[in-house]
Amino acid sequence: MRRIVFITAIVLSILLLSLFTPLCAHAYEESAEDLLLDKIDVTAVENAAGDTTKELGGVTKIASNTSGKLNELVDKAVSALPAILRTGVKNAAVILVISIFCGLADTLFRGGTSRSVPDTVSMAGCLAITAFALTDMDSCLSVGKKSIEQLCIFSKAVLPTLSSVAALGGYAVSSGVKYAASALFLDLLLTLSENVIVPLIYAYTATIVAECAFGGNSLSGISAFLKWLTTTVMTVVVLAFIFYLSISGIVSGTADAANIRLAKTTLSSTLPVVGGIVSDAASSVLTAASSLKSSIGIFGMLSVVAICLIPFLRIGVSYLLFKAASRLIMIFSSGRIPKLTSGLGSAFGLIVSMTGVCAIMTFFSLLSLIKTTGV
Amino acid sequence: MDLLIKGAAVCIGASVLALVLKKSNPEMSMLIGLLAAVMALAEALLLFTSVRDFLTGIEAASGISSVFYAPVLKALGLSLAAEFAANVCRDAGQGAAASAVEFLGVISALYVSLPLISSVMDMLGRLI
Amino acid sequence: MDIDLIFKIAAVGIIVAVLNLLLTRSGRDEQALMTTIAGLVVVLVIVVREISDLFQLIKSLFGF
Repeated sequence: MRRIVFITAIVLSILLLSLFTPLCAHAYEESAEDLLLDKIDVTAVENAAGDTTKELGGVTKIASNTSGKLNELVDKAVSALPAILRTGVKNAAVILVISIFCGLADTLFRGGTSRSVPDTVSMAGCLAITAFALTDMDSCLSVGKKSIEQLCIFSKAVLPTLSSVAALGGYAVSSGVKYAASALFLDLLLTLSENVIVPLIYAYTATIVAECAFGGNSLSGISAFLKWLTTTVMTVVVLAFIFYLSISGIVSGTADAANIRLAKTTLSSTLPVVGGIVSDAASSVLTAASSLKSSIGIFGMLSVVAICLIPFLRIGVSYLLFKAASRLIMIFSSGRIPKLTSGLGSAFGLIVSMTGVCAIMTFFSLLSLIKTTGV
Repeated sequence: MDLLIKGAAVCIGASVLALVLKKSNPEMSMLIGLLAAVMALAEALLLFTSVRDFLTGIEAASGISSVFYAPVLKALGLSLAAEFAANVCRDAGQGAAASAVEFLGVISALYVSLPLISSVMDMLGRLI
Repeated sequence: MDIDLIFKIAAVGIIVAVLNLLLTRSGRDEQALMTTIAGLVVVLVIVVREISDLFQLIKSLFGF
């Protein structure tokens, strides 16, 4: 009789235990995320994102409403667009008027015997357009620099957080490597853009203005070279970053995957019943870590978009308008003024690509840290 | 259109008369041609006042300071005057005087654009 | 900017030319020369006034 009771008690306890395990694991999963949130300070990340991302809400709420938040960002940008367009069109109109004047002078004196006198009108027109465009370029450059700085600050807050969450999720080696690479290359880009790219853009503008205002074809080679140099510097940095990240990611990612598998099998094989529970709890921590990682990652990417969207619009509108004005001017006056306007548009394009390169690199590093398998 | 017809009529009539007087009184013929040119130019400039008002309207609407395109306007006026004077001198057969007036016109336009040049140099020189 | 001015000057010019021809034919060269110079001075005064008006117009129009 007592043996039957004893055996029933053992069977009952085994049954209860086996029922209890999934409940345990589930409870672990829910509280694991809270535990992680306690450990990892996401408020620093949210603060570093700045005012532009206050509307994005907190990190925890983001994953459930990503497309909604993205639509909100797009709406905000679209609503800011008319004001930007209005100022841009005003600028373009003034430039068109100045060039109409110069075209007028050109046609007036086309039958004249001398070319030197009406050339002075073209020179004055070129200088006026440049003076006007330089104020615009100054503000665009400061907007671009500010967004690059904001991107760097934000990345300094988000990348360590993301990499520590990824390390908690089991990808210690690769996350460390990727964080180091991203930090290195982003710092490199920041110093390069301040000390090399912005002076190059100024130099390119100066040569374009000198070439168009005072004539002379010798300067056209120099300006083309400067433009090529600027684009090459930016392309080289981005390509090197992506290349380095891919290689190091692949190498370290496989190591991490092997480590995780090894840890799991070791756990479950050494401890028979408890090992299963512990291993399940561990994977729930891993899952919670990965979901938190994707939340932080999504928040990071949306913040990058929010930081960069309106500056892009502003600089891009200037670029497009200058190029369009150049095409229009080419209709009624050939020669130096359309070339000048087109060159000024290219300078704006260089500013856009400078900001864009930084945004792409931040994006890419965030993406690689989120995935952490392979690249 | 009427203005153009009037100006064209004046110039054509004056040219014919100038040709008539060319053999006997060449100086008189040149003066007649000169007078016709002056009158036609004055008519054209009176038309230009409306363009200039349009420009002033744009300046007021866009809030751009006149520092930018005042030199362009002045250079246009200077080159107009210089070209006209040079051609008159050339009509009278004085090529040297004509080129001297042209040179004067170029120098004056440069002088007028000097503030613009210096402000552009300032803006570009901020990288140093 | 009257078209009459041109015709007035043209009339002066033609009169001066005809008088010049008549006086040279009748042998009074000095008087011929004096009429020519007189006519030239008159026309020159008018033309200089018109040119000055034109340049004033340019000056005021182009913002000097």
